[in-house]
Amino acid sequence: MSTYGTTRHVPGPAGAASTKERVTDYHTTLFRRLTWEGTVPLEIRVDPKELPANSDRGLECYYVQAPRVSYLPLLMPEIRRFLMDVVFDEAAARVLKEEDWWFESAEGALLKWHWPIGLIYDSHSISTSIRPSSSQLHPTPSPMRLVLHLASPPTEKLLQSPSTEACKLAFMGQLKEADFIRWGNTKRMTGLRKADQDGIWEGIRDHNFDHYWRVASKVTPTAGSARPQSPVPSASVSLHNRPPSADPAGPAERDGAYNVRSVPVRIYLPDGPVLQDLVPPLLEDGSPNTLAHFLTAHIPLLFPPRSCPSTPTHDNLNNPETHDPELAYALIQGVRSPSEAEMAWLGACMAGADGWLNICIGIVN
Amino acid sequence: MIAVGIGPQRRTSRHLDGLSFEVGEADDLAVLSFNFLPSGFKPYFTSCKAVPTHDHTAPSHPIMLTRVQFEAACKELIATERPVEALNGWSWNEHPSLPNLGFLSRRVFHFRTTQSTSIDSMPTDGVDLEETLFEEDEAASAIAPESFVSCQYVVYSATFQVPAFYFTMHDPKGAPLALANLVRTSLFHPFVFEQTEATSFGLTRPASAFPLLSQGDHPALGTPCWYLHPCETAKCVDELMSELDLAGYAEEQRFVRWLEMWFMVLGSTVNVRS
Repeated sequence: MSTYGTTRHVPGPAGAASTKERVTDYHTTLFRRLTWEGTVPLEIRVDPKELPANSDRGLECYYVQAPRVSYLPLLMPEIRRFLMDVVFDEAAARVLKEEDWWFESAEGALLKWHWPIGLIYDSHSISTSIRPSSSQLHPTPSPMRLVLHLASPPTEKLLQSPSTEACKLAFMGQLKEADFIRWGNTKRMTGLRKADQDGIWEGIRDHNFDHYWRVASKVTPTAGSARPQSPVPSASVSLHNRPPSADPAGPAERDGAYNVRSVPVRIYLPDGPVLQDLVPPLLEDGSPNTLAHFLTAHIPLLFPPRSCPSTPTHDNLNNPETHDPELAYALIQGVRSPSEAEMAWLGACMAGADGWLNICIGIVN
Repeated sequence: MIAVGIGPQRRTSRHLDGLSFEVGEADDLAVLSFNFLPSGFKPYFTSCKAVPTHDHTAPSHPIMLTRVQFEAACKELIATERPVEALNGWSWNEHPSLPNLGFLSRRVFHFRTTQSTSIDSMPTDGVDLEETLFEEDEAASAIAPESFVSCQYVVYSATFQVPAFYFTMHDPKGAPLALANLVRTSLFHPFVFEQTEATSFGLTRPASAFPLLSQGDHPALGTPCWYLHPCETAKCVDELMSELDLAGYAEEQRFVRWLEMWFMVLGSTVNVRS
């Protein structure tokens, strides 16, 4: 991991521009790949009351390290194969009707078909952490326990149809909405050939990074910025090893992340509604919109305005007493994100496969 | 300030308030670009950026409301009695703890109809429709047509910054209607779904970017609903509004007029009687 953060030598002026671009692309691709390859552990157990007679009990638990960017309906084929091979006898297997399947968490929360698995997991881990009965957070992620029901889906509370086709329609719709939010139109998405549009979905369905990004890179803004420095990528990279950009502000890219009208972002409050509003990449004074600024603007009670400077310096990181105690934190792709993170960068590098940056809000114990 | 609507097939030059600009077209939405923007000018389209004409990333959606404008227009609209049937029976709801998540709601009754829906193709996703279609019991329907409860909502679409129509429809036992039955109720005018393709989870038109009718979570309640895609309605309203002269109106009143027109356009797809 530390090799990703090493300082690269920037050659002389003749090669500086292209190297800067390569360095920028490198970091963007790095984070997109990390996001894509993120997985969460799931333990899926059929509701014991619904196990047909003659089932092989004791083996009815299916463990899977599921991709964060994927969806529950896309897991169903492998779950079905497992159940047919290991748990059900032939008679029971014949009557399996996947359109009646539904999932809930071990605590009884209904799981939505159209939420990415990573979002379901993060939202669940936050809910669990704020329950009064829970002890301190586990140091390692524990599997999220899901209950699979095979019949009688609660149609009052759950969108109908866990089919792959419904999943695809919803997914493509989200991609187009994200396109609209960024540019005020959906030209980039609707301008794709049908083969490409299908290709994006197949990349998700088959979980193939290269297939997905071959097309997605045509519609997703690049993180090349007009800023003099790339943002600090992660806590594991020492601040003294900032990626170099010897040049001052490079040319603002027309399709760049800092040129969008708004970043597609949604905020998920614990047990609360989903918040969505305009998120300009730059503030009125031209400085980049940061996570801190965004959260303070929308949830001031949980993220009160702070007096510390917006960019971290060596000094104030070593003086924790300048920070007010945190009430809440932001979880993005399972990572507690630093408040200095820039919204435009987050939108270009840590969004889900559907183009949306999902921020789960956790409460500090 | 003057409301400017944009038709998809026109290209015109306008001159207002000392400002010259050109209206063009791109795909099925129009692009508004300003040649010159004097300082201190506040665009009527509050999310529109002032951009030079060659900038192809200019927003192309003509009208956008903020949440605050939406709320004000809704409250004003339902506060006074109006002759438009579409506006009856609505009440304003707030989220219990969070501001700016308000929406209009009402509950109405509809019933099964026998008219043709003119949908080109019925669900192709393998769901056995025969099990879900209404039972053809003519005798029963002649005596007492089964009535369905429809909860209807006018919510703020955060993505498109215009109102959106969300609804549910349940049978007397409380089960939600399948799409194939939903389109056969009195909620929809006949033939509104011509040239659409149906699955069990949505209606799409081949030329449109977004489905005409699909499922989504209610933005404030989080419960599953059907919704009409807001862009179509908003586009029609903008075209109609462009024919009106609203020069004398204050900004708040323009939004109320816009919303009133929105309900009327909605009424051309949805049977809006209460």
